[in-house]
Amino acid sequence: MKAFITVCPATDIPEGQRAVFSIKDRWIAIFCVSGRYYAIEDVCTHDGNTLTEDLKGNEMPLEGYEIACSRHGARFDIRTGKVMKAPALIDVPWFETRLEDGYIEVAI
Amino acid sequence: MVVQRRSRTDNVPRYTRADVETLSANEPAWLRDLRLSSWEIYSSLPFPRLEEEWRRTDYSHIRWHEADQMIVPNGATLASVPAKNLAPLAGDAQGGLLVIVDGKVVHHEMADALKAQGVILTDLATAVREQENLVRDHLMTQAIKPTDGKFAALHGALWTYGAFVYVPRHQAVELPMHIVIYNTKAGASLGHVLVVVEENAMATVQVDYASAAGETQSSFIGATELIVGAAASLQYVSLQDWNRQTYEFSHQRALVGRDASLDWVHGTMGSRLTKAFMEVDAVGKGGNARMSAFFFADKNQFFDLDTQQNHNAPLTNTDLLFKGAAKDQARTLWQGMIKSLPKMQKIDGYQACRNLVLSDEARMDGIPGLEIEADDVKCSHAATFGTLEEEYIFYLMSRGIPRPQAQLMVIDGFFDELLQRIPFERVRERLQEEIEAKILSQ
Repeated sequence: MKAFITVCPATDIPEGQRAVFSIKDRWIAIFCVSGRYYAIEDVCTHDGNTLTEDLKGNEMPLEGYEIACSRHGARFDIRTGKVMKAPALIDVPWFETRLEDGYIEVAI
Repeated sequence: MVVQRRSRTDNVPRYTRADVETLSANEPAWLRDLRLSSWEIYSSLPFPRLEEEWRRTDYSHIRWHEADQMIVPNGATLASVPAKNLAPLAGDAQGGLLVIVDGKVVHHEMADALKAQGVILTDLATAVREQENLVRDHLMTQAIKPTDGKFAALHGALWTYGAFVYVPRHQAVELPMHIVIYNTKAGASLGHVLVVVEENAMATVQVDYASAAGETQSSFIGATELIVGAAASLQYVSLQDWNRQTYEFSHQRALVGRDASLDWVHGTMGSRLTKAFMEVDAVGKGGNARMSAFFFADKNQFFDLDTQQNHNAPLTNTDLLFKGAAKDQARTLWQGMIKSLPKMQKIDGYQACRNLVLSDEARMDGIPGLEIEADDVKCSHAATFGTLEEEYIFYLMSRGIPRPQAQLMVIDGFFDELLQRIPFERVRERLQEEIEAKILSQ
């Protein structure tokens, strides 16, 4: 059953930034875009690569609300987890977020 | 609930060269040198992440600030070890039994017949003192080397306990030897198993790895070396059942000499994550090795078994069969390679991995491979994936067997071929019970 878990102070993820957290043995990427927080699992559903970094560890940029996997170019919408471009065919797990007393919480 | 921000630099073991120096303060110079040179290799290598053999294995969830704390023996005794791990392998008597709890020997017995044959079964620290030449010749010099990787180097620098088995030339040891490695506490465990079977000798060895349930994370950074001399024969069984907080990183390699024979059965049931390199090097003409393994992952377990069959001599045979199942959100990965050097003609290598996927969310990968540089060989491989066959279950149910029982019977049947390769009926029964418990667990 999903429950909200406190992750970090909102100030830890400023506008336009992201951070990745280990929660229940999954890497959850939290993005701050236009004052809102979005959380998806940091994994490409095509081949298991991380979405937020390329193979050299460089940060993968957000393009609008989309992030692309560095290996084969699959794209996902961070607002919904929806896959936007092949070769991935399955949506990436998406998690509801909320702010409570200045802390970001994620439902997982 | 532990929430940890990802860091590629902070989340690493906090060992230092001083730890190595302290550990080797009272050891012979050659061993201290081995540890320090291993430390240099460890320090020079990055933690593996994106290399081909590692890129599907995400061990970054490990919390090293818990898992790097060296386990220190603290009064745990033989009574801490579950009775099922201590039962004699066959009949009522053990050929030899060595029990190591939290890195300390708590029980050691050996049948007189084995002593009379000159067989050695002891812990590695004692062997370093009493059989120094034998250990020096074989410890991380032939099979596993510190250069094998980051974790092999870390192990070489900081192994803290181990077992040593030695069977002299021309000795056929009839009673099996049993080694039990058990941890009651959470933390880092660096154990080594070194088995040397000299020319024309014969032995059977089983090693059980297990730990008590824990709240915090543990690591097992282990190594196993099996050295089977010319015309020798070794039956080796290794069974791993770490608790669900343990991350295992192990290197296991057997060297099979001229006309020698190795029959190796391995089981992986426990741990949160296992990354095991299991390799057989057929180094003598006519060497013959059979590698078998079963694994069953459930919940959030991740098993990555990386096998290699190296034909480094002509007229060698290797035969690998792995069988595994996964349920819940578990993941398993088998990557296998048969490799032959140039001019290693008339070799016969086979590898197969059969996978049973028991839930929609489980994922199992199989990646067989061949790298053959000789032109007169017989090498082949196979990987299969399937779910429970509804037709078999329907057949059993049509005979009045309830569905859960029918499912159990089909899964038991899947694993039976492998369990039959374990030469001890008592162990087979124990493993069957453990497999059934996993099938039925929610």
